[in-house]
Amino acid sequence: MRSTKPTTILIIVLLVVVATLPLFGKYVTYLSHLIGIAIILALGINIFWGLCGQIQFGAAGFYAVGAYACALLQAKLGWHVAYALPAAVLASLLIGLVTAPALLRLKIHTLALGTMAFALVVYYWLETTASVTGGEEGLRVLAAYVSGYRLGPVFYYYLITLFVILGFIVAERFKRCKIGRAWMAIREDEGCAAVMGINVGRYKLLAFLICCGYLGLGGALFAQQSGWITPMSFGIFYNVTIIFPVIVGGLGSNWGCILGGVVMTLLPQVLSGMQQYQVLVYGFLLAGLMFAPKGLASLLEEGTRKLWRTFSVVAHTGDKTEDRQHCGEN
Amino acid sequence: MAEIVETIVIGISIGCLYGLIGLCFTVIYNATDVINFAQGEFLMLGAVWSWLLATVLGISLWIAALIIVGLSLIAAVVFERIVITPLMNMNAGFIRIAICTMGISMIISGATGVLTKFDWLRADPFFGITVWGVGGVSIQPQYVMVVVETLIFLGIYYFFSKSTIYGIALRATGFNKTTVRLLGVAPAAMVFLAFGIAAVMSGLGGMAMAPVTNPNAMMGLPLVIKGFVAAIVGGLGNPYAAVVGGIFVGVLASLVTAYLSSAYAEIAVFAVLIGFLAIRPSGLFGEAK
Repeated sequence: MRSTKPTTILIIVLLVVVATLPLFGKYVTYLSHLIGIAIILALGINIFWGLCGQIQFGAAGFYAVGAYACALLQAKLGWHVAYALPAAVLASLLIGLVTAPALLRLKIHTLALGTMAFALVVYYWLETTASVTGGEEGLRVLAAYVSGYRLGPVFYYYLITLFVILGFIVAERFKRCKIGRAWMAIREDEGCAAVMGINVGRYKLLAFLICCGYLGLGGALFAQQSGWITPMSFGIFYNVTIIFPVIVGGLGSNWGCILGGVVMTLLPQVLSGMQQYQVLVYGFLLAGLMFAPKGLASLLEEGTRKLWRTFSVVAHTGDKTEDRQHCGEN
Repeated sequence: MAEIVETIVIGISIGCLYGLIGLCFTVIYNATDVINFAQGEFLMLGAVWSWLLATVLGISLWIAALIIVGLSLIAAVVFERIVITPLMNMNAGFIRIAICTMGISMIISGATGVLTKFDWLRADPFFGITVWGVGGVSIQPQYVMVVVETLIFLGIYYFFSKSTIYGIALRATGFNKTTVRLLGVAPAAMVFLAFGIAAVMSGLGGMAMAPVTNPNAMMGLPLVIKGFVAAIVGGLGNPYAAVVGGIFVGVLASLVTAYLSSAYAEIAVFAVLIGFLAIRPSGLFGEAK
């Protein structure tokens, strides 16, 4: 009982905070949008990279496909957002399906380069075909109405939160079922997994498509909440920073994605006063975390466990504190 | 006609630059199995130092080149000792080391950016503003310098890796560290040698390119991606293949830029790359590993 108590309290506090966040003003709501979207993207990348062990450097490409599909379907075909949003996810899936035969054949270095090349093709295509995508100027995303009532930031906040929770549950389910175990087997050793009877190609494709779906959803939500999208949001630098939440949180951990999404969205806001140091700080973070490969989530977990242990030792067995701590150090 | 030739010459020259980075990738990859995403930053550093030494301080070309070689070596030692060797001792996998070098790349470009205020630095050409004319085709000596430099480096490295005992030891280290150690080679020294060679080549390459494209702190990442493309198109692990791949990419990009636009050039390069990867992932001259 004692071990479940703090987590229950934590979850209740978290739910209350999440439910009431829009009350704290427009800026907090806007930041929460970005955090939510970052978490959705991170969960998707984590499935392909963290669980299945395949590098994904082209995430910005699928993200852009989702965003532009959602915006274009509304602007050019006059679709309602309720149809455009799922259609954008489908578009991202479709592009994923088309590129998969070429990309999934690749391994390690070539996969890294191939996925990155895909994202750059998408980025430069968005920039050059001004007649469709608005070019560098960008594209306006029309405000959506439901029976004359404008869908505002608060609505999108709850929508994004809903998708984050759903996405998290789906990702956790996947991780704990047969498919997730197959992915992890592929991550550890592809040949071994194949010998065990796992259809490596099919499971990789599944992970890739699920990843594309998450990225498309994130893109569509981003387009909806921001109201204006430009290719700049999906450029070469963003291609690297989009994977930050996963790396920071720790590859393979869904909780890590949430933590990474929060940290990596808030960090630029904290650094906004010293824009010129941003690249430097990101670099230190990225390089430093490679020396602690399980990411921030595991560091935090380890830290709290240690703290909790010391705390409970002090509270319950006053005179034995010294012994226990001594053992812990060894 | 003259226009096409000029375009192709510029393409070859820029391609050689990509090829040079690809060559650096190859040198390091052959010795350590590491892909160094920070390689572009060594080139950027070379260009910025060249700007600082030659344009701002007015030091003569050859002395500046010597200083850049020294600084590149120091940078390589620091990079290899602080980052690469500890990670390799931790048995970090390919992805972890690659991402770490990416982080280092951001640190270097971020720090340089803070010092130079992210400005485009204007470097003076080494040969004045002379232009060579050959039968109606005008060529800037600066472009020729990049090509000659790359070919010299390629020749030296090719000879070094095939015909000298150190070069053979260097390549052997990439195959099997344990065996190499049994044969009396110190793998740590070979790893340093590889990073040192790559850093010097990049530093001097950056120096040659400084007047062609004005140096900027953030130019490393796009360059390193192009260099990576060159290495993969040519075939990773093969020194001349990287240069051929680089020239292929450079000429393609420069032709598309001349006749369509620079954005289409990027699309063409990466689309060709994806096609290439789909048909022949091991590259033009590579063997499937």
